[in-house]
Amino acid sequence: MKLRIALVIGLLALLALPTGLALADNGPHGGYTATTDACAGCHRAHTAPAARLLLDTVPNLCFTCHGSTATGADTNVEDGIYVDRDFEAEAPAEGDVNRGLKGGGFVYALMDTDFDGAATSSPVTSSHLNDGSTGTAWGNGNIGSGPGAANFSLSCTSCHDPHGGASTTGGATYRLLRPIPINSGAAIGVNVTDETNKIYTVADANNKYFGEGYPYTPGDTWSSMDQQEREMSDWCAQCHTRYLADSGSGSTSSGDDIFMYRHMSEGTPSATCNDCHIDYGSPPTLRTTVGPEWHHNVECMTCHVAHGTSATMTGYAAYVEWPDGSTTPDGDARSSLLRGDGRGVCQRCHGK
Amino acid sequence: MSNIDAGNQVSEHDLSLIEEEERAEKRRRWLLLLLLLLLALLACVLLLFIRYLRQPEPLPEMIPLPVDVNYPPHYLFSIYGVDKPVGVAYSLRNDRIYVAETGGKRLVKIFDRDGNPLGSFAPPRTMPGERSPVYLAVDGAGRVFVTDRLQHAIFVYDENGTFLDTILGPDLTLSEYVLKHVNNLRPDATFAYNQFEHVVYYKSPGEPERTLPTPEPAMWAPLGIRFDRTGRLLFTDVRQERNAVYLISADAFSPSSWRNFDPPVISFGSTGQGDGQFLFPNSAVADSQGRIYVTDGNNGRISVWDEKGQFLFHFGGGSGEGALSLPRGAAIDERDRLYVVDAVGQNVKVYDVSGPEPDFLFAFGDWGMGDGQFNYPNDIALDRYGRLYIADRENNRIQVWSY
Ligand code: HEC
Ligand code: HEC
Ligand code: HEC
Ligand code: HEC
Ligand code: HEC
Ligand code: HEC
Repeated sequence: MKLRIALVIGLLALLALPTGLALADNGPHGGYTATTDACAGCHRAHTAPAARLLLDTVPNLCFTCHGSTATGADTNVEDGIYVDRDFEAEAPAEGDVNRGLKGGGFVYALMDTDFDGAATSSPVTSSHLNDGSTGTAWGNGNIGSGPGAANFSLSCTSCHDPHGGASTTGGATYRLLRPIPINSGAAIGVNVTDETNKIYTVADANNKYFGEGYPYTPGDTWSSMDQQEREMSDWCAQCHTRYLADSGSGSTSSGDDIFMYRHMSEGTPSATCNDCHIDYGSPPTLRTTVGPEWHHNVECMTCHVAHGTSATMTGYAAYVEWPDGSTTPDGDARSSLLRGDGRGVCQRCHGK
Repeated sequence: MSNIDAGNQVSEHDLSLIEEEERAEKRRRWLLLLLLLLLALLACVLLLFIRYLRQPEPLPEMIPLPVDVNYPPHYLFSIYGVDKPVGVAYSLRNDRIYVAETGGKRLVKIFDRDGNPLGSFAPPRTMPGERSPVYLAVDGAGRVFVTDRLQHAIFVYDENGTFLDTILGPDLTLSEYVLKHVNNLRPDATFAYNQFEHVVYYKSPGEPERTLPTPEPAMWAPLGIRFDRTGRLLFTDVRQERNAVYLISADAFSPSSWRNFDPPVISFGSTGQGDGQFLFPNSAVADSQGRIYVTDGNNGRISVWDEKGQFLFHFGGGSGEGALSLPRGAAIDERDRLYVVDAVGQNVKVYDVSGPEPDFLFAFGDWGMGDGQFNYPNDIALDRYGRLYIADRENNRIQVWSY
């Protein structure tokens, strides 16, 4: 038994060699070499229950490095904070530590959810982790197949491949995202192109979680950014199949009785320059009827974060029915991974 | 002939009878002695048992065992009431145990040796999502030093958890900083700095509270922290630019030099996987000869340095006996045995480092939720009675082991 496991691990180590990529971030994910000890950071040597142990307690393993103590990584996903300086994101002289992670957090999040220019660390109101319990992967499956896949259990490794996220063509993927997330039922892999310099923190120094390019690398053009953002939407739709909607589809029936009219969440807006601008002086004069980010793509990541949000919900936004008609959880727990309080994200573009 | 033969036979027979009786007698005496011994033993055990019943102290405490044994310790009991503990320290001054939690309110909790709670504390003016106490060290005066990964600082408290000061960098304390802005710092004045609020609070009795500008951003990320036998402070710095170990001389912590905190510092190491490099060093401890052992977390090894900060060698990598998965907290005992908590290995590995070459002795613990089993253990502290305290993170407890 032990021998067999050792053999499997040995074989995998060999397999990992040619696909291995040198990682600049000193992380243990991928980039394995022949003399690597990198497996040891997550797998116990010589112990039979290794596989079971990891499968049972994946978030615990990940939090051993990525947790609030950040004892083995700088990305503290429990608090949604990058605990070191993010040299790629900051201006060289800034020296600021503790900027918000793009994904938000799983326990606390450091977000400016009311867009007032100041972020505070607050408890997370909704998150993408239900380890131990289950939830519904809304919109999963074909047109007309009901609200989604029920009893879906989500763990870190549902989305991430701890061994280095090989894309379907062999390269790395953005954030080790699996081309086919576990249990998604997807048949064709979606590769999200990796960035050249890893930027883990939000673009806005005050942690306003809006107006992000996904993924964004300095030097990216609008169109290459668009492409990556669209890949990301396609990737979310591996699980939330029927949430993808093309430009103008808000008024076109998709034929699905639950997910019929979706907000455009893939593609570039059909807006023209004059929709926003009155003139092009410096500074330009902008129309008051549109918000500051109107020009931005409308993708899943425009409105949602990937891990968890601390946004709060009041009034109508707190009681929106879920796709299966249920009304709980409600209140702040209806924050649906949104980047802002209530429907603040809509206001950023529609500027009401 | 036959008579003689018969007589002979009889006498031989008699002889053997006598012999047998003598043997039986001897056996009886032996048995009696044995019985007496057994009875005495039973009485002893009974006595111990009665004492145990009246005073349910762990048994090994009654027969103090010398620690100079080379067999693994055994599980005694657990201290519950801690939420995902990562760091643990023992105070020689008052026999207390200090525990850093990463779950719930993220407090540092105080216990006596038997696990009775004595109190808890946290950095002033911080919310749980803004603080992350990780490792702790207690100095000879009983002061508690706590590294905080989110606050990028070392907080200093008295033995009861009253906040004293914050070390903001290798040569700057908060009190020193405040003193630069107010001309006189009264001993009963209070001050606090929360990195997330970008403001220093200062209050002198009888005056309204003031706010002061914030210090320069911290260019360090202190993590592992220990005092060595001579009172020097060893801590690790895990900032990406330079993973390193720092050594601060003992007199830096005396009341006289505290006001002008600019101690001589030895620092060594850099970021990477080569010799003399670290990836997330979580702990640094010194042995009786002054050699320094660094648990080089993500490199899965221990790196060894001489007292001047010269790299010597590393061990515990690879896959042989005593190989480490993810070494974290460490401690060293009087006999120069090095205890390393292996968070992913789910046990504590013990090496004899008294000789020129480290010698793997044994490991104790295994993965699980039962007594003596670990679920992502992270740190260890030793007391003076041969007890070991291990922070058992995902089991939400401190395990107490003993020789
Ligand atoms: C960052 C942590 C991490 C590192 C580093 C790592 N693994 Fe894994 N590995 C996991 C996790 C988590 C699983 C559990 C499967 C899952 O959820 O995808 C796993 C599963 C496996 C399995 C399959 C066992 C099973 O029952 O599914 C093998 C084989 C394996 N890893 C080999 C390796 C080898 C070889 C290396 C080094 C080259 C390595 N791993 C490095 C985290 C890691
Ligand atoms: C031994 C420590 C360790 C463990 C265990 C670990 N990681 Fe990491 N991980 C790192 C480090 C270091 C990085 C580099 C970035 C940083 O410093 O945070 C990283 C980076 C990542 C990234 C970003 C990669 C990229 O290309 O941008 C993801 C996603 C990630 N880890 C997921 C996981 C998941 C999921 C697990 C659990 C299965 C896990 N990690 C376990 C140390 C660890
Ligand atoms: C539903 C899918 C999903 C799950 C579950 C998930 N992640 Fe992620 N994770 C993502 C995506 C997508 C990103 C990229 C976010 C971005 O760039 O906005 C990401 C980003 C990250 C990063 C980079 C830092 C950041 O916030 O951008 C780390 C590290 C990471 N994840 C670790 C984890 C760990 C550890 C867990 C489990 C506790 C986990 N993830 C669970 C999808 C997921
Ligand atoms: C591995 C499948 C999977 C992937 C990939 C995935 N999700 Fe989800 N998502 C789920 C499941 C399952 C739930 C339900 C979680 C629960 O209720 O516990 C969910 C819930 C949600 C919710 C509602 C949150 C709430 O409060 O319950 C939103 C919003 C969401 N996902 C958006 C996204 C976005 C945006 C992406 C792409 C970054 C994404 N999802 C990728 C499986 C997935
Ligand atoms: C990133 C900018 C952006 C955000 C954020 C945004 N919108 Fe829009 N919205 C647009 C654009 C661009 C269009 C035009 C869509 C098109 O070309 O199909 C649009 C169109 C619409 C329409 C007209 C329906 C249609 O497709 O013709 C409605 C209604 C609407 N948005 C509501 C919302 C609501 C509600 C929210 C918040 C949940 C929101 N919008 C958030 C940019 C945005
Ligand atoms: C224009 C902003 C916007 C975009 C773009 C967007 N969402 Fe949402 N999403 C919302 C809002 C607002 C809610 C809250 C419920 C509501 O009002 O319908 C929500 C709710 C959800 C939910 C929770 C279940 C539900 O329907 O209430 C899921 C799952 C989800 N979105 C997935 C996605 C995915 C996947 C994408 C990309 C394909 C996406 N969203 C793009 C704004 C957006």
